[in-house]
Amino acid sequence: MIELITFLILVGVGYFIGNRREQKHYEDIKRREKQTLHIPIMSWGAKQDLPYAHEAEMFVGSVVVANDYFKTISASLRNLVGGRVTVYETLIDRGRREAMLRMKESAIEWGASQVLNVRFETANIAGQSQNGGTGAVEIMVYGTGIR
Amino acid sequence: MKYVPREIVDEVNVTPVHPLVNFGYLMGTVVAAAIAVYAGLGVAGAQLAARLGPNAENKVGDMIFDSVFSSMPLTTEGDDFEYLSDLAESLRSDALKKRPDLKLHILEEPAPNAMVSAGGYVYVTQGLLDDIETENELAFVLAHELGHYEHRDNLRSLGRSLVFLSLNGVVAASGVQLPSLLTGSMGLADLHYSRDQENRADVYALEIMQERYGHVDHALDFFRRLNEDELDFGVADRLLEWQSTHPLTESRIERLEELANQRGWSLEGEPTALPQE
Ligand SMILES: [Zn+2]
Repeated sequence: MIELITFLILVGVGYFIGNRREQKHYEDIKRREKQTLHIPIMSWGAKQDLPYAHEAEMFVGSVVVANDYFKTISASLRNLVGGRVTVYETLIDRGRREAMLRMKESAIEWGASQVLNVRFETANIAGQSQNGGTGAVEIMVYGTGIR
Repeated sequence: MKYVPREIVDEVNVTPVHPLVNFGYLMGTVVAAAIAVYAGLGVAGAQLAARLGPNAENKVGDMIFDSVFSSMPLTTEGDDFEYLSDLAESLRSDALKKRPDLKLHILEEPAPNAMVSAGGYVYVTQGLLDDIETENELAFVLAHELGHYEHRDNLRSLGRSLVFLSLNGVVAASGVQLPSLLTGSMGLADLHYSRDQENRADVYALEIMQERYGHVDHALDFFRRLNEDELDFGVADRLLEWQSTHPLTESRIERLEELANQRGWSLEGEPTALPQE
C-alpha cells in the first residue's frame, strides 16, 4: 500500500512539475528563437566551399535534459505494447532546440553573421543501469560561425 | 540565395497528443490485457479441472505433495493407518477406481480435519482419529472427502495454478523447469469449496452411508458434537479450523436429515464400533 502511494506521488510530481517546466521551457525557447532568427544556420557538407569570411570559429551548444518519473512510467508501459513513445518526443525536441539556441547565442555574442556546417550529437549520460533509473540525455550542437 | 528568416510555427516533431490521454491509453491496454490473461487462465483452469486425465492428475498431485505436504509430519504405518486405509478403499466407488489410487496419510496434527488433495492424496489428522467415536462418523468424513475427489472439487479449487502445474508436468519431462514463481506452493494447500460443492459431497457421503450400513444414523454425530461444543473456547478454535476447509452449519445437518427422510433412509440404527485399540 505504501509502495503504491509512493508510486502515485512520484508519478504525480513527475507529471505536474514536469509538465509545468516543459510549458515554461517552450515559452522561453520560442521567445529566444524569435530573437536569434536573423542568423542563418546551414548544415551543408564539410567538403563544400565555405563562403568568404574574415574569421571563423567553432561554437558548441550542449544541454542535458532529464527524464521525469511520469515519462519513465509512460515509456515503460509503451515498451510493453510498442509504438511511438510520444512522451519522449517533447523531451528530445526541447533538448535539440535549447542546444541550438545556446550555440546560436554564443555565436551572436561573438558577432557571427552565419553559422555553417551545423551538426547534432546525442548521448545517453545517465540511467543506463539495468535497475531502471530515470535517464537523462545530452544533446550537443556544434557549427562554424563566420564573421 | 537570399536568407529569409522564418519562425518555426508547426511542431512536426511533437505528436499532438496529451500525455495523460497517452498514459491512460497505455494503462488501459495493459490492464485490459492483464484481465484477459487472468480470466483466460481461470477458464482454462476450470476446463482442465473437468477433464484432466489420470496420468496428469497423478503428476499434479505428486507435485503438490512434494512442495506442500511432504514436509509435514505424516504417518503411513501402524494399526490406525491400516484400518483407515481399508475403510477408505472400501468406500471407493466404481467411478473413483478409474482415478488415481488413494494415497492415504495420517497428519500428526491435534485439530480434527480431513482433506483430499489432487491426485488422490487423502489426509486425516490424528486429532480427527482421536475425536471419532464410531466407524460411521469416520466413514462419513472419509466419504465426504471422496465426494470432493470424485466431483473433482479438489482440482477445481486449484484454479489458475492448475494450468501452470499441468504445464510444469508436461515441460518437466523435456527437462525444462518453469520458474517456481508460476507454480509456487502458495495457496496449493488451501482448499476452498463452495457451499454447493460441500452439499454435493455431503449428499454423496450420505448415500454411501445408507448403502453401507443400511441406515444413516451416527454418521453426523461428529459434526453434532462439534456444533454443541461451539461455546467451549478450545473447541471453538478447532471448529473454526474445520470450517475453514468445510463450512459447516446447523442447517447443513438439518438439510441432510431432511434428505434422509425424503429418500426414506432410516435415521435409526446401530453404530458400528471402531476396532479395539
Ligand atoms: Zn468438504
